[in-house]
Amino acid sequence: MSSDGSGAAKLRISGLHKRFGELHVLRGVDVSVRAGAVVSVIGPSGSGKSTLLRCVNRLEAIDDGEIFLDEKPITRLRGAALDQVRRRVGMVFQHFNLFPHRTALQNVALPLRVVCGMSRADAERRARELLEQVGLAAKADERPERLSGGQQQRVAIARALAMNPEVMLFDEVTSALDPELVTDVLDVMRNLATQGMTMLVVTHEMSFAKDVSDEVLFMDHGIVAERGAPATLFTAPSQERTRRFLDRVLHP
Amino acid sequence: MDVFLAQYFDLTVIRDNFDKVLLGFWVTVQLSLIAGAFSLIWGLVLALARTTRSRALLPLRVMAIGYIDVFRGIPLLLVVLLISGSLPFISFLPAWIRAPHLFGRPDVYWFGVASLTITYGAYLAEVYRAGIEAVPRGQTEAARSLGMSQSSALRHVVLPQAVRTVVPPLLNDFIALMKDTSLVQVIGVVEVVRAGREVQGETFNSSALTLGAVMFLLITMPLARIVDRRLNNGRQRLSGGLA
Repeated sequence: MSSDGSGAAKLRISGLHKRFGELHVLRGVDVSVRAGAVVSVIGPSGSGKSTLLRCVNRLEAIDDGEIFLDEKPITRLRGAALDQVRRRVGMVFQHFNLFPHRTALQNVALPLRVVCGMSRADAERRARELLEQVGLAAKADERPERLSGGQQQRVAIARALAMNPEVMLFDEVTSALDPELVTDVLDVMRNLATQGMTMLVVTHEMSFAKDVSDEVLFMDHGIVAERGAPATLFTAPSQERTRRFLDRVLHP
Repeated sequence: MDVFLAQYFDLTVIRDNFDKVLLGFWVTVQLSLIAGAFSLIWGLVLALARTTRSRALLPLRVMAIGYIDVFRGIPLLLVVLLISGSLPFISFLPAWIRAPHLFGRPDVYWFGVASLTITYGAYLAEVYRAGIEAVPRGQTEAARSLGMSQSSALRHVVLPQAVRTVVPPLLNDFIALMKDTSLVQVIGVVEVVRAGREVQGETFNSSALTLGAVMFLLITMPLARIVDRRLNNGRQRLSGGLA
């Protein structure tokens, strides 16, 4: 339940630094996620939450620090070894990033064929199962443009799950959705958490962070300013800036 | 008015020389299709070299940029003359380059195809590049995050989208290429314009050239309509997607 390193960490981030030119976005971030745990990252925009996630599967280059998957460093992997690690770490994006030239089914089946080398028939059978799991079996043959934002995001989750990832990264996945579509996506995520998926979730959904997380991190100006069990962090934050942030988002 | 009609629309001249002009147009179509196909491939190769981010391939990228700048910047006619006038005399080149007589076609025919490909490869590379760069970065990121290699992401995610968006400009460039095949006549390829000119020289009448123009239009006008339709569809899809 904590990030102090007790128990085997599935994912561990240690002393992570990231600069964009002059801008020092991450200034020594430590995170540890146990197998099966859900860790939520909250904080004001510009605090480095998304950059943190993007560093984990190395979509951003890392300036300093180490990232461990099953306690093996993945920080300096390149080429095929890095691709292999990315298979094990699924990512869902704020803007879905579905492949617009392919149907929902093909979006899920494509990586199964290209990355896992499955035959078309096998890939499509598996893709159909995954779409069913996110409640979208009926939309299998629709192009993304014909799906609502919430449906697109659920396809994106199914696509990430297709690789059988050991860890899932969620990068503000409901921020681009109309309010009434948020619930469906959060339900899928709740299900995943219940099934024991290891999850690192950047989110503005405080109720989700509160209900589902084992631990919540509050990030501000590139550092983890406060961390703790959701019950503590949301009701009795120890830091002034955490309190101010929570005040703003919970009682606007 | 009669003089005008007689000069450009003399049916007797047209009837007598129809076969000759049609034969020329057939050569025009061949040059267009062969050079067009080669340019499509060569342009894609150049565009891939031009857009690579890999540090190891930097020299390739620099060469592609140089090539594209040079051949976009000089006239096709100049390339035609440079190739046909001197390639045969460069003794260390293999015979099939110095004097290509492939598939029963004369060397000037292949020099024409080569010149068109060299020049239009550079044009099409820029078209492809625009298409590749128009694919949002999130697409590559999504593909890479699933474990696809750089080349798999390019092949299965980026290129299919890029090619789709550049079909209209590619068709436009094909129309341009087809018209530019007429420049190849200066080295002795009897395509439709050359055929028409020969008739003009014999009859002091331009009707055979008019016939050639009509043959061009029969191909290029429908193509232009297809381009328009695709552009409109694209716009409608775009605004529909935003709604």
